[in-house]
Amino acid sequence: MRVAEAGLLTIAVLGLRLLLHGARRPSLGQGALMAVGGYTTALLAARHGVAGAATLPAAAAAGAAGALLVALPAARLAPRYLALPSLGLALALPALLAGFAPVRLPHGESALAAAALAWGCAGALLAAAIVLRRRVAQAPWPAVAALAGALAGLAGGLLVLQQGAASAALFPARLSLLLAAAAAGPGGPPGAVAGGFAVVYLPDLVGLERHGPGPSTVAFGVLLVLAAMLAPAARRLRR
Amino acid sequence: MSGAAAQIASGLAGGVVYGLLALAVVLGHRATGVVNLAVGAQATLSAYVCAALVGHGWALWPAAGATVALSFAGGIAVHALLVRPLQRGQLVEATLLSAGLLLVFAGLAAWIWGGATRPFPQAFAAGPATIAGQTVERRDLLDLGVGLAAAAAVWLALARTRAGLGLRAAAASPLGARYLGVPVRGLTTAAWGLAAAVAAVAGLLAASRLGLQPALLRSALLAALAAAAAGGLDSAGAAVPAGLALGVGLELAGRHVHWLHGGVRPALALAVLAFGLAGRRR
Repeated sequence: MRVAEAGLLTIAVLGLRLLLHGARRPSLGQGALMAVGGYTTALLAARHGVAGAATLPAAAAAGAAGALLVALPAARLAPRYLALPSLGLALALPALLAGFAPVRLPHGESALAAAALAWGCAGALLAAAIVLRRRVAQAPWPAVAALAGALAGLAGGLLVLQQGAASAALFPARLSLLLAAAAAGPGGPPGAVAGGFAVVYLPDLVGLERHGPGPSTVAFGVLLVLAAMLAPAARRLRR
Repeated sequence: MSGAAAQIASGLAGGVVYGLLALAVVLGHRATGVVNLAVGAQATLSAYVCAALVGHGWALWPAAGATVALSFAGGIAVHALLVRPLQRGQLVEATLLSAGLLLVFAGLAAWIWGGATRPFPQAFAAGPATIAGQTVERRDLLDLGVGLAAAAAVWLALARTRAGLGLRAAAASPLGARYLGVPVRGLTTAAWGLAAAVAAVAGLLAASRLGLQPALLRSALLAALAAAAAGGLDSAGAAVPAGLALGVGLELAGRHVHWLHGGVRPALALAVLAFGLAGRRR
């Protein structure tokens, strides 16, 4: 159910956009924070019998806590250094989780319910982001990092609800970098929708089926390079 | 071979790869202030290029030399065309650019050569060697020797040449160096090229140990960033020793500590990265 996936990735991209364009802190670990939220959902549902959607606040809280923990080592450094501990988490967490068996939910959501839930959350959060744009722009950066982590955790929880299980393969290191590429482009909060759809559908467009993940990885890399090269000019234009 | 000496030798041979990648990160960071996150993916691409040259009938050593030279030229092109225009302000975009290049290089390797592991031509025959009564794998020692020779070459270039002196002056005080007539722009670009060449050596060593695969240096990138952070990201002298220490530490932890279902290596490397960054001055 790929439309649901685009919805939940929109949420993750939205959080990262606030951190990247608002607070100007580059995080390359949002996919790993999705895994933190996803495993929170899976463990609460499988081991403690919490009903599916009721786990999502805990998934968001876990994502926020993870984001603060990642931000801690780079807290005193210049903004760009957030890229280091966050990329470190993106590289380490999939390797860490690979040793553990997947955690299966007792009963999955129907495809339609998963899509409705993902797009309902995405719509509400997009509206909130547009209304509260000024507030978020003035917030201290650790608060924005925690917010971005919470949205990533929520997205991870939604992904696990949709897939019916949490596994290391669901959150590869690549996902963190693809999210950064999807978030780096222009367009304000609505641009997050384009980013969410890009992560899901760009691999189809450039022929993932025939050539493996190589072409789409290059395409995302080129997008990120272009976004970085054009960002100074885009900022000058907005002023 | 699983004696303590053999394990330490294997750790050192792996660690010299981390050390060289960390040295590449430090060289780039000192010259530009940008942490080049693409070093691992670029080094992997370099290893594929070397294997392709050998596939076209080149002997291994000339192919390796040509690969290092090509990587140097590639590093210069990347800095001149992409990094230099972004070299102002907080360098957030330049850091994102390096993450984009990581994707481009990793994607290109997977696209052109496929995802399966391929054999890499071997420079040294495998076999045991005995040092002071301890049996170790001979190739580990030779890998270590090649890596240390590359690091020594970089040290000579930085410490004993005019260009190296200018580069260190530019890192200490860019404006002051420019007023004294040091060609700061050109040297900064050359440093990025030198870093790419060092990374290529790391890629060749890793490929000869593990075979060619697109994710060849993914875990090594984490260890290399940790080793670079342990030296404060600016210490070229600390990069290689930190990489060697981390290589031995990760090798021994991977073999003897069985927590976390085998995930103790990435956890340890991540902890070193976090504490290294937290302890950095400024």
